[in-house]
Amino acid sequence: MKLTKYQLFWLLFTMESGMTLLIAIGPVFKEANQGAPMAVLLAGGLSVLMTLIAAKLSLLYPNDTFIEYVPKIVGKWLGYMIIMAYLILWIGVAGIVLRQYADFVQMTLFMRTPVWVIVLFMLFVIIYAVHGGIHIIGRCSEVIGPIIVINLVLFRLLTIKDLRPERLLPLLPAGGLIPVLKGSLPGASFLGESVMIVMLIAFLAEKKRAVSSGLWSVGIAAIVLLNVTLDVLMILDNTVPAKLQYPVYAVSQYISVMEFIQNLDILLVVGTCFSVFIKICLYMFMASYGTARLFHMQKWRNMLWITGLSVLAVALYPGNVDVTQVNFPHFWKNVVLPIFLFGIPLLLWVIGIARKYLKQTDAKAP
Amino acid sequence: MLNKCLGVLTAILLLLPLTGCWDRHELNDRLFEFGSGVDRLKDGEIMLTGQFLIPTNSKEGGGGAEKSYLIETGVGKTVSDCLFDMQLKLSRRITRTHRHNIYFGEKMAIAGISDLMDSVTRDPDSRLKSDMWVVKGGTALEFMEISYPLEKLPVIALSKLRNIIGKKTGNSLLELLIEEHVEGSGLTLPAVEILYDPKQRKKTIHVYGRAVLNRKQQLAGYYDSMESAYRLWVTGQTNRVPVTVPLPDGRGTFSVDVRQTKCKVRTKFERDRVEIEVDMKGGAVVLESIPAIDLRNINQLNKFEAELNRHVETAILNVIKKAQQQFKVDVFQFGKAFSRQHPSEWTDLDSGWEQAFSDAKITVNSHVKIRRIGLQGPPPNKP
Repeated sequence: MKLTKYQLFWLLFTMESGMTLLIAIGPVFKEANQGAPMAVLLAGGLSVLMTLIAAKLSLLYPNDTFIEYVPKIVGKWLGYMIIMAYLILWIGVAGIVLRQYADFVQMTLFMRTPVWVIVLFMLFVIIYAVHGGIHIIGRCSEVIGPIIVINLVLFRLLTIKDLRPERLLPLLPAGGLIPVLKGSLPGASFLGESVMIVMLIAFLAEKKRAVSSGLWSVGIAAIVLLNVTLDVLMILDNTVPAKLQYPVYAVSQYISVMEFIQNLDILLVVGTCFSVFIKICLYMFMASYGTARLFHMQKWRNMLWITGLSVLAVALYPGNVDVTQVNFPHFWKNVVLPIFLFGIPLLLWVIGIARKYLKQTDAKAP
Repeated sequence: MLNKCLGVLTAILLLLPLTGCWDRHELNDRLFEFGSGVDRLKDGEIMLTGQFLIPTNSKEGGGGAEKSYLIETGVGKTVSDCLFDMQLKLSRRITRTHRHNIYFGEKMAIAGISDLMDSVTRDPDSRLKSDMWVVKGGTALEFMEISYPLEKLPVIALSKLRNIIGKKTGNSLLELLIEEHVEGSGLTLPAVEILYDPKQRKKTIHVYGRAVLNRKQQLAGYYDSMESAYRLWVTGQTNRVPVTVPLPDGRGTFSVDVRQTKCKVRTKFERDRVEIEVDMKGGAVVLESIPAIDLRNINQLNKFEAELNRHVETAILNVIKKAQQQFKVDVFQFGKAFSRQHPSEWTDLDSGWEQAFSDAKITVNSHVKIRRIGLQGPPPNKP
């Protein structure tokens, strides 16, 4: 299982651009209001920083995945605890994202189809892809990523005539910097998922390119998010997006060029499906491969069925959309972002560097 | 071998969901609603009117003798109530994804439309692109029953009409949502009326202008068509304004079409009073001149230009004064401009903008240039 640098780039970019555009923009506007573009810019910067730390951490042990090098850095027992927490987190987020996707698709396309059917069929496709291994997911993303880019460019061109540039000003709202900082967190919590690079660099063929591929993908995803945020701001102004479930969906329905290019929401739905596919594939792979490595199992693919069932259970658990779209993002923003996406990788990196310098202790480590 | 068999079996089984039969939307079971109307009944209930495309007739091309549309009503306490009631009369499922226009009867508008919006913005099938109208002096049902020979669906007529008279996009729903969040900003909806022509013995539709709603989303008054055109010029949402200018000393009138309309709003905050300066710009084309004057003479042209600008200035000032004195809400997005130009003062003022706007000192400067005079110098038919 090998990944090329392009595959890494497309993997991260595709994964970041779908649900982020759909769900993250509303909360950003809710906090930052007029300062939403600034908040997204800040979020982009933060997530690039987080990705850089994660990449540097992985490059300390370029041929090991997260599962293998964490015990080397902090010792066996603490390492296992950290890894367990991450594995549970990955399964959880895969399930919730699957449900978010299912809720969205059910609302827009399949009113009468039960949620479990949508979830199950998506899961089948995902398991099929993950079964092939990380390089298969990588190749999928190389096909899907450009399709998403085409969709984005299409939206960019078609919304131009409805934009009201004067709505961009002032860039910084009267409320000051605090709302902007708060508003950057929902964005950063979505973009920061690229920290999963800690599991991917081990598969990368050219290790030297890891940092640049990772940072470019996150940076471009952030630019895409910024672009769409500007679009939403210039069309819906600064208060309406915060009150809508899916502001981007509203914008896509709003597009009408020459009275016959209309109802383009379907492009958005398809783009979201693709992106979610890659995202859940990645989390499923990381969870299955990680668990197998943790318990020293020979065939990681056998783990896939167990993680698949767990993801299915998580996806079917929530009773309503508030759990997946309000409570979980809230938890993700307040707990996962500071601890799992930022805190732990940073600590590990610092400790890892310290160990590299103190070679004696390094030699004694298991 | 077993694996291969399993694979083939799965492949065949997977063909079944491919048909997507679970959520099939047969066209034969659908009824497309292109416009809806809401009226208030006496006892506080509302009546929803829908105009639907009759499926079989729509293929034969527009303007035939047969009606290509169907009107049905439903009564209830909420919009969904009404929809359910309406569905009880219809054999096909009401599909609202193609709805362009929503009409409110005058009584409904006076009572307030704020409670009706929820179903519009909540429904995934409903588009933010909808255009909403107030039927001046009538009910939505009356309006929707008028047949319109040029369009297959009479409700579509207004969307096209609006485009032709110069409004850039028909999106009064979204505008309403946005304005609602700006403190002190007035909401406006385009208004249409029903005219009865006794000579031709027929009713027809006529765009009246703009209905102004107060902060409670209740009807506060109307702007007529000319006032609305000037308002759109100030808010930058139109690309042409036709102006007829009377010359002083009873020398007659001349008409121009102002294009490339632009407007710049500058706000000031001095001695606890808001000052608003409005700069109008545009290029005019002379359409008609009653006085027999040779406009190839630059002096005459300059005189016309000065008259035109004077006229535009007073007209726009009157339109703004009407809002200040009669409606007492800001329908020109001045509040937004003020918040952009003076963010800190805006936060101090915020909830007081309605009053601040009513007391504001308004200056209008018009710098319209006459760009073209048409095919003639002096009128060829006069000596």
